[in-house]
Amino acid sequence: MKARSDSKLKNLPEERQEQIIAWAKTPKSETCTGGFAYALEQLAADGLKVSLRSLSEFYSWWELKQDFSDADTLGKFAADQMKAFDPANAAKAEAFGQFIFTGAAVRQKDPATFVAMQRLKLDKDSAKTRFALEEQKLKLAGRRVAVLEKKLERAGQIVKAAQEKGGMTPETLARLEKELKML
Amino acid sequence: MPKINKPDMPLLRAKIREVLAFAPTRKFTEAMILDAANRLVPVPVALDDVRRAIEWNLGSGFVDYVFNRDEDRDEWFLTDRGLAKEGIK
Repeated sequence: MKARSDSKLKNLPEERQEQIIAWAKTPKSETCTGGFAYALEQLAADGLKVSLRSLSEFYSWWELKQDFSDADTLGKFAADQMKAFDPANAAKAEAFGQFIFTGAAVRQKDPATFVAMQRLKLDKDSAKTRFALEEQKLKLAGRRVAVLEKKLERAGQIVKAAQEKGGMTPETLARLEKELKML
Repeated sequence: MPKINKPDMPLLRAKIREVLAFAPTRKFTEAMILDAANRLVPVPVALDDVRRAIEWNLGSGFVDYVFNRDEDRDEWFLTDRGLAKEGIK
């Protein structure tokens, strides 16, 4: 069976995939066609013929993979720090890591996902009056999204700063928890 | 009346496993899977489509779920069989 051409791209080594994404992100200039057209040119020059659609699908797949990978890394780091801070409570640390993963993964997509997550809860209760009340809450949740994103961004900055300094102190962990509790 | 494109269900079932494989030790909400599926599949994917695809994967033993009591929702992950299907050791 002939392999799908976006599968061909997905099966390339990681560094090669990064190169293709870099080509696709290259801005258009007087000397460069830029974007997907440029990436297709470069791939063709390397003897790899793919369609625009396959490249586009590969690009979406790669970005999504990166989003979840980044969120997973952040979750693992948060759980590890929590374990180091409170070794007796490993289960809580894992739950904290999952919490950070979910928050980070959703943040990297779009605010509509926050609202969608709330909306899914409503599927379990079809009472019309309750739905109307929840709709009001959803509207409010939508307005809160921007604020939530800022708070998560702040939490991410604290984690990043701690990573750069080699780990978290009890004080930075307390600051992080404070930021997250505000969610 | 315009023709409405429906997602290819075998493709969607595979895409859902692919999404869960991005972070194989994590659990994913339906909303996260729905959003990711819409980024990977070229036609609009509805929540019902995602649920049917998840249920197929559940029936095939590729995915399982835990109920998150605090959030009142199911959260999904790949089983050992699902990990093997995705080529993850």
